[in-house]
Amino acid sequence: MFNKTSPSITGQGQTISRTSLAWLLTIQIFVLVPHFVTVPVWIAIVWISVAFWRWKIFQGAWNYPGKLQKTVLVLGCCLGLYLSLGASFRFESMISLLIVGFTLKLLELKNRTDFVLLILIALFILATQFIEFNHLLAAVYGFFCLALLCATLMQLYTSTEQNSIWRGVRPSVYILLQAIPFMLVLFVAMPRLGSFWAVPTPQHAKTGMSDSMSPGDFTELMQSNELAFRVKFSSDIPSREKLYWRSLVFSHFDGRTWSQIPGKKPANNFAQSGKISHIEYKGNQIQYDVIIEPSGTRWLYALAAPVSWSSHVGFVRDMRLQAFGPVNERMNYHVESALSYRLNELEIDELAQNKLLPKNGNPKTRERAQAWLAEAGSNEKFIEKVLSYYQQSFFYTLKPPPLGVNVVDEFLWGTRQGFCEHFSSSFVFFMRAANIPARVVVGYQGGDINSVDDSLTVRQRDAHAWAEVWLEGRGWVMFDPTAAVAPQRIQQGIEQSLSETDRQFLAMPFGSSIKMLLHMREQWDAVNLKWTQWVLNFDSDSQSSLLKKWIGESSAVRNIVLIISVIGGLGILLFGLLMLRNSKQELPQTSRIYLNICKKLKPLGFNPLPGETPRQFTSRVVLTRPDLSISLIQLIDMYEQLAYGGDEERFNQLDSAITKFRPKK
Amino acid sequence: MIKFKNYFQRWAAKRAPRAHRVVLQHRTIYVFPGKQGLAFLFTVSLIWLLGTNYQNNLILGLAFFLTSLMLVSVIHAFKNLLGLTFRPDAARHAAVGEPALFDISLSSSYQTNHHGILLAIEDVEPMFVDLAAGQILQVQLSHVAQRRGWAKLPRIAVKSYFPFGLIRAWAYVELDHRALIFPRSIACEKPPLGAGEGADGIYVSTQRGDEFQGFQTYQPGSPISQIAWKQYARGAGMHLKDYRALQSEHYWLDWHVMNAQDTELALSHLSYWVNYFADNNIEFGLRLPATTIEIGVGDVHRLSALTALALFGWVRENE
Repeated sequence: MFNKTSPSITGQGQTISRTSLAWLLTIQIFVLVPHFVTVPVWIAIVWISVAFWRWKIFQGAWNYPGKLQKTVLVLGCCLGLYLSLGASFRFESMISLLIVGFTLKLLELKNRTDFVLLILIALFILATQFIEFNHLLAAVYGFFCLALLCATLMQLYTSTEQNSIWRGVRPSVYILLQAIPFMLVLFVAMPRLGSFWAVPTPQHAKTGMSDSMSPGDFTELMQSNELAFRVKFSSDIPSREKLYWRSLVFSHFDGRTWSQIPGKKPANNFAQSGKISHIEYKGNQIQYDVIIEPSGTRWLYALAAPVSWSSHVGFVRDMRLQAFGPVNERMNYHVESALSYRLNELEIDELAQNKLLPKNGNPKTRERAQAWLAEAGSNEKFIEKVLSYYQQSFFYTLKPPPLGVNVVDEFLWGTRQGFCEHFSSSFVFFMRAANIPARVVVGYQGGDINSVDDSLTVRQRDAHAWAEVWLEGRGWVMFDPTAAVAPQRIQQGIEQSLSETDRQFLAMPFGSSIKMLLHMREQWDAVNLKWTQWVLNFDSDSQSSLLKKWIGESSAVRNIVLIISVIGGLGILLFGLLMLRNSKQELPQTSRIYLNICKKLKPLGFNPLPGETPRQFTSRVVLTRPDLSISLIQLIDMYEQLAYGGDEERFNQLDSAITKFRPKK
Repeated sequence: MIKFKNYFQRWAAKRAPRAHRVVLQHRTIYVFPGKQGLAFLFTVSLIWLLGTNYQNNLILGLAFFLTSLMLVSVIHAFKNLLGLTFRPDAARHAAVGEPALFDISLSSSYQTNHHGILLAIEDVEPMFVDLAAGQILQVQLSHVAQRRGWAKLPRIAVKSYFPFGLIRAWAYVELDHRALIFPRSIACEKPPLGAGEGADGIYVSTQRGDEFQGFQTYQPGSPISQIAWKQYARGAGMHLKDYRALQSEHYWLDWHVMNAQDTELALSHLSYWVNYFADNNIEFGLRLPATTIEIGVGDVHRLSALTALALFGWVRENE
């Protein structure tokens, strides 16, 4: 127990030890890896060469770079950044610049101050990776990196070097775990502020709805299994055929592409909830939260017709929700919708606009429309006739034959094979040709219900297009020609509506064919949704409502007082627990062994007397129980070798021997 | 006045007790963010700014996590020093201007590891030690004393930046620990020799040698070879044969011979000659106004001579 060690006098010195350097390089790898999604890959090569150089410096083989070398390196990297990213103020260039600096600083790593500076930069870079990734797994990875960072810092402040990595990391993991309750308090109660200034965000090409619809646009969407948005209903989930997630309204047709009316800025059209005069709500209202994935666009999804909505989204007068800026991060909004409603026209020219067709093209359809309308007599009857035509002679497929110049003509009277975009656009064209106002509505239809948490997952492949027709006295009425052709598409989802060959073309969620995997995926989705709802979307609104529940009215001052008192309490608690653990005096190994032997002999009626040595005790036992003599003497021999011979290797041997020793009464 | 002085002394002693055993307790440990901690806080605020600007909860979470880490560090930094026990051990004497070594045994009153403890006296480069649970660690602090006599171990500054270098925890330890500081050796041309008693001729050394001097009464533990077996056989009892070396050279170093204008210089000269004679195995004695060290040779003799020099005129009160 009495150790005389020679403590290192220069331990606190300024040199960087081999272990420290190795730790630092490892940290850099882990912190940088996620960034190579955004950052040019050549930076990785720079890092590898710089790290190699620094290691050589440590070995004494190479020198620190001179002034000239440094300048060349910095200029070279800047030039590289300029060539690969351009000079614009973008997210990628900011991050790249930071990472290049972080990398090159390695060559200036000379003393402890530089070392700590590098660790601090690493912390910052660790933070920036969450801009790109905010998945649950990203958080776990971040925690892992943080543990490594802390271990790196910690080994600067201990003089004994740990021989295993886990031993080095373990104490900092413990401290990190202890910090979690404090973090939660701060996370929940710390007042949140809005952005101070606009920041560049990473830009990615994302699959999703576009603001126009031309033939073939939806094919890409159908092939994507990506999450579009998720919905948590506060009430029962309406039946599947009612789940039409309205997103965009296309009123303009140029012969090939449907789009919004050009030149009309939807932003000017925002209306406030409760001040919408052109919609009449009927029947029950349902409430739900939509958690939308970043799309880079502004439009949102809601069931018709929204009655009220969160304050951070806007209502556009053609009855759809829209964000005030592009959705670049996961976003949450609450909507209340009335499933039966009446949507009246807004302006007189709205109806006229929705009758417009290009001057030329598709003559056959125009001709037939007039003829059929005359035949039917009324608009309602005409629509019925058209829908029954769809029902009788069309075929739903994701691989339609290609169409020529007269898209509608060829589709309606020729190929008759297609999916929602063909059906809806031809239907609307048909209506307009009969001089009935009609428009295309796009969005998503249906979604998968997660059996774990009853949330609805809507993926890109659920994209859908349908039609709205204006009928005298009924306003805008929704019609879905696809439902006429393939009712399964609407009732059961797209998978069920396709033939076997077509299904291969459709993107399938992972594990949908195996039941157990499906369940696991549902579990995982549910966890992710919780993560999104409770962590990623926790904002000042949810904060104040949560705190209201706990402490009544919440204000910044009140929050701070709450934080300080709770953290103080937690601190005292933690300190108490730590001290409690410390004060438990552990018996030395050898004493525990001896006590174990005594425990085995106790049922036989033998107890060691005060002042009796282990050998005396066993000898006394052996006198009355000679049958135990061989095993007992062997045990006590081993015990003495362990206790006095310092033969540590004996420990396990003795321990198992004691376990095996079972004296009979 | 004396009464007041006594009172003050007692109060000061209570305030900063120089103790034989010092245990660091909550009253004596101070914690505050170090330079690195401030840099860390700056980084955390940058991260917070990033998170607020991007309205990104994970980044904000990281900023809060790091803040919590700092809070938890306070507890750990404090705990790292709590219960550290200092006990004085051996002290190695030295001359003025040379480092005197103070051994201190370091242990913990709790079953915990203590990491990265920095021990420093005054502005000397600190010592960096780890203390494992249940371990008793001996550390050696050196201190260069500027005055001869008893040198007290100056206040030890105990510091630690454990766990992450963010929080500085420190405490001061005043240990009742002293080392003897000899006068600095300063050479002078002639040794200050005084007159010896029976100075001339051959002198019987105190050391063992070949010359038979007579008998001494037996003392247990004496070498068997010295026992006078013949006398024992005659029934004269146990005696020892006393052999001494004959020495022709021996000197008395005498204070009174010296020009005692500068006491310290005189002591330095004396100590130079003490060392000189001792190094060359020459017998010498030392005469000081209050003490006399009889003729002798060897390390113990040298030590007692130097001690006498070190404590020349030393007043107990100074201790």
